[in-house]
Order: sequence, then C-alpha cells, then structure tokens
Amino acid sequence: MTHKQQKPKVFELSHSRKGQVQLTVNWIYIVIAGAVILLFFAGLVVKGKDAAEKNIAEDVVQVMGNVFTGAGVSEKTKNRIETSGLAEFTFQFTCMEGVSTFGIKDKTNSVQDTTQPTFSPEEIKTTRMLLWSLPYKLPYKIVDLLFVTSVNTKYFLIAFDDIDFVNEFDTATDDSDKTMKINWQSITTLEDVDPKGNFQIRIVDLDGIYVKENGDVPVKALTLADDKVTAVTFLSGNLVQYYQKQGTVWSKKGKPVEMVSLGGKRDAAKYAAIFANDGNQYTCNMLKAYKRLGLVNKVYQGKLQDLQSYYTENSQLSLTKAGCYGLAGVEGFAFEQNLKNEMEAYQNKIETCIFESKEGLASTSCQDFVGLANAISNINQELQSECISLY
Amino acid sequence: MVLRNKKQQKSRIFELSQSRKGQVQMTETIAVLFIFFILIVFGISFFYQYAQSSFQAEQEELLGKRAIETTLKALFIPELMCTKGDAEAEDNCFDMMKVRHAMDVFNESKLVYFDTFSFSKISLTEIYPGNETYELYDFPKKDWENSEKTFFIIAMKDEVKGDGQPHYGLGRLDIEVYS
Repeated sequence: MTHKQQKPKVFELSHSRKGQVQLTVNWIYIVIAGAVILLFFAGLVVKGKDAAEKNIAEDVVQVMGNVFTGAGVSEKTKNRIETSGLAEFTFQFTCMEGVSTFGIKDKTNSVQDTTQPTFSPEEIKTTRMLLWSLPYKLPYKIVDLLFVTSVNTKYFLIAFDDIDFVNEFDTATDDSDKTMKINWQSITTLEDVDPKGNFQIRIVDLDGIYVKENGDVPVKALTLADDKVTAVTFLSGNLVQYYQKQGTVWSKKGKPVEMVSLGGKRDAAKYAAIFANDGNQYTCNMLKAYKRLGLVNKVYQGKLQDLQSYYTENSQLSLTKAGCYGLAGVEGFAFEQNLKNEMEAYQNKIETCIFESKEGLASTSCQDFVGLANAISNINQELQSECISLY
Repeated sequence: MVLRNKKQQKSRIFELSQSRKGQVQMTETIAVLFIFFILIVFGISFFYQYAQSSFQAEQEELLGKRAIETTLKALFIPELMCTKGDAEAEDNCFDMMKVRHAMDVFNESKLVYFDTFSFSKISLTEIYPGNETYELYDFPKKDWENSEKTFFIIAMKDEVKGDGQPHYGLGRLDIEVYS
C-alpha cells in the first residue's frame, strides 16, 4: 500500500521538475529570441543609417554634377547650392593628370571630369556653395572656367598698384542677390586680415610684394590650421605663386605657374588663379582648357578654309574687298600677317604646349599663345569692318 | 488483478494521448513553419519586384536628366555656337561654317568628346529652307536597353551663303542618349 502511494508522488515530483525545467528553457528561449530580434533591428537601423548617408552623398554628388554642368555652360552666371543639410560633411576637389575629382571626403562616391576646368579650394565645409563661371577666350571662346567657393571661404584682396583690378573684382562679383555674393574684403595691409568665423581664408596679393617666403602670417590668421590659410601672389611675367601658412610664416607651395591670358576685363585665367587651390590644381585644369583650345582651333581652321573657298569662288569681290582676301590669306592676295599663317602657327604652339604640360616640363611655349592669339584677334577686328569675320 | 489491469490501461491511454498530442504539436509546428516560409518567399518576391521597378524608374529618371544635360552641352558648345567677335555669343544659333568642320573634329576626337556627350547621337536637320542632315556625333552603346530623345529648334547661320548678309536657316537639333 505504502509502495503504491509512493509511485504517484514520484510521478508528480518528476512532472513538477520537468515543468520547472521547461519553464526555464522557455524563458531562456524568449530572452535569446528577443536578443536576436533586437540585434536584427539594431543592425537594420545601423545599416539603414549607413545606406541613407550613402544615398544622400550620392544624390548630392549627382545634383552638384548637374549644377556644375549648368554653371559651366552658361557663361558669367552665378549659382548657389544650399548644403545646410550636409554641413558636417567636407566636400573635396582634386585634380591630377587632367582628371578632376569631386566628392564628399571619406565617402566612396565621387564624380570625375576631364573636360570642365573647375577651380576651387581643396576642401569646402559649408552651408552654401557658390559657383561662378567666366568664358576663357584666346582670342575666341574656348570654354567656361568654373569657380567653386563657399560663403565661409574669405578672400582678402591686397593691392596698391593694381587697385583697378580690386574695383573690377568688386563689380564682377557683385550681385543683387546678397546670398550669391562672394565673401571678400579689400585690405591695405596684411594686419587687416581677420578670419573671424570663416572656415578658410585666401590672401590675394595683386602686386606680388606683400606675401613673401618666410614672411610673417597675419597674427589673427594664426588660429586657423595651416592648410586653411593660403595666399596667391601675382608676379611680373604673368606668373602666379601660391603660398601656404606653415606655423607662423609663409611657405611656397610649388613653383610659380604661368598664367596664359589676353588680359582685359573679366580675365578668366586671372580669376581662376584666385580661386584655384594651388599651382597644381591651376595647371591641371588649365591643361583641360588648352586641350580644348587645340580642338576649337581646328574647327576655326576649317571655317577659314570655307572662307577662303568662298573668296576664291567669288573672285569679283577681290576688286572691292581685296583686304578681305589678304587678311584671310587667299593665295595670290595674302598679306604678310594673315589668318592662315597665324592659325597654323597657333595650332603648332598649342600642340607643343599640351605635350610639354603633359610631360610636366617647365614649359614656356604656353605663354607664346598670347602673341599669336593677339595677332588673330587684331586680324579679326580688321575683318569685322567689311569682311566675314572668323569669330 | 483487475486494479492492475485498470492501471495499465490508464497509463496506456496516457501514453497514447501524450503521443497524439506530440503528433498534433508537430503538425502544428510544421504548418506554422510552412506558412512562415511562404510569407518569407512572398515578402522576398514583393521586395524584389519593388526594388526592380524603383531601380528602373531611377534609371529612366537619370536617362532623362542626361538627355537634358547633353542637350544643354551641345547647345552651348563653342565648337558650334554663333559668335559676334568679343561680344557674348548668340544663343540658340549654330554657325554652319563651324558645324561642317566640327563634324570631322568630333569624329576624329570621339574619345575626347565622349566625356562631354557620353553614349549619344547628336544630329542637326535643316527644316527651312533645305532639308539637309548633319550627323555631328554618334557613339551608341552596345546592347543598349533604353534611349531618350530630345530636340531643340535652333537658328543656322551661314555667312558664305548670304548675299552680303549672313544667311539664316532653321534647324532641329536631335539628341538621343542611350543607357
């Protein structure tokens, strides 16, 4: 009897222990499953954040690429890109061997370009980007040079001799829309330089005498990092030298670079030198313009051939418009200085300059453009009076 | 003896009910798993279709943007534009004396202009007074899947055709981009 009574007790006990074990297993199972689910969602959130950031970076780079295209083709226009949502990101612009790269720093997405010359600081961290383009003419329009800067990049223009350029800069950069105005200030001494809250500053020494190797950096600019304080000086012989702050003194950044331009108002090559990060970026982007010049000149050489054929076919015009024949270089009528000869010489110089620039030689033949471009410009002006002009 | 038999019967019934309960639970689990996997398969297929359609829409949008961008670049390219000396260039106008030679330059330097025009076909058709067609640039993409066409009406200036004054015609600039 006692034996019989003992059995159900054992059974009940084993059942309750089994229940206890089951209950514990269930709780462990719930905790593990909960942790896995939580981890899954946490992972999803992290991945989603990464993907969203990547998407924003991609979209911004894409949109900016489009804006750059628009700004690059419509000359003398100013544009702005609101980047307040991306204020914590740093935009980076580089140019190597004729290929510009633009993107967000430390992000994989970037846009590469081999045709549009773009001049900008190497890094921009801002709430508003400013874009401005000017046509580069040698002597006809080759391409629009695009300048990229920001509201928190300040330019200090210092000049005594070249004060006319400061006035021109004022007029050129002025805009009725104040949000599109380039952040700049005219100063009379380097001590006037005060970066205030700007991300970076650029001193533009138009006389080429204020900023010198090992010269003192303005005291107030010492608070900024070395790469955020730069200077550009315009030397005689159309040379441009870039400097960067190194501790408390100025240090040369590369060798002087040549500025190839016909001068005059709104000289795109000069403005490009002001906005370019350094000599390397300047020459790298100008090389794009020279390559394009070679192609555009070929088209104009073709146009000249059409012009010569037209004058040859309409020989009766030689009686009244002999000058046109002479200037265009029609055989039997050609003047000593005619378009045909000048343009052929021009094409040769362009090709030599491109070759030398690609090879990284200390080229001077690019400067030779100027004389030939001036000659073509003079002939064209003469043609405009009563003949068909080249451009 | 009877009591013993009864007890044996009870335990058998208990075992039987336990094993049947287990079977039912097993079937339940399999059914739940089956439904779960079906839902997962449905979810994946819906997500795949959604991703594919949104990718396609994005591709189309990008192609449209590229078409506009290429048109813009072609309209303002110095190799084709009408000029007026040092003054600003004439908008929406092509200099035909340049166009005739730009065709050769574009062809000779196709890879250089590829950076500007990418995979596209650009042609200029005279609408008035003639009907000549100039194929300016043609770089189709092999096995292209999508294409987007745009056009623009422009003036065609030809100074050697006019009688003392430049001759102006009317043309249509056709641009087709491929992806």
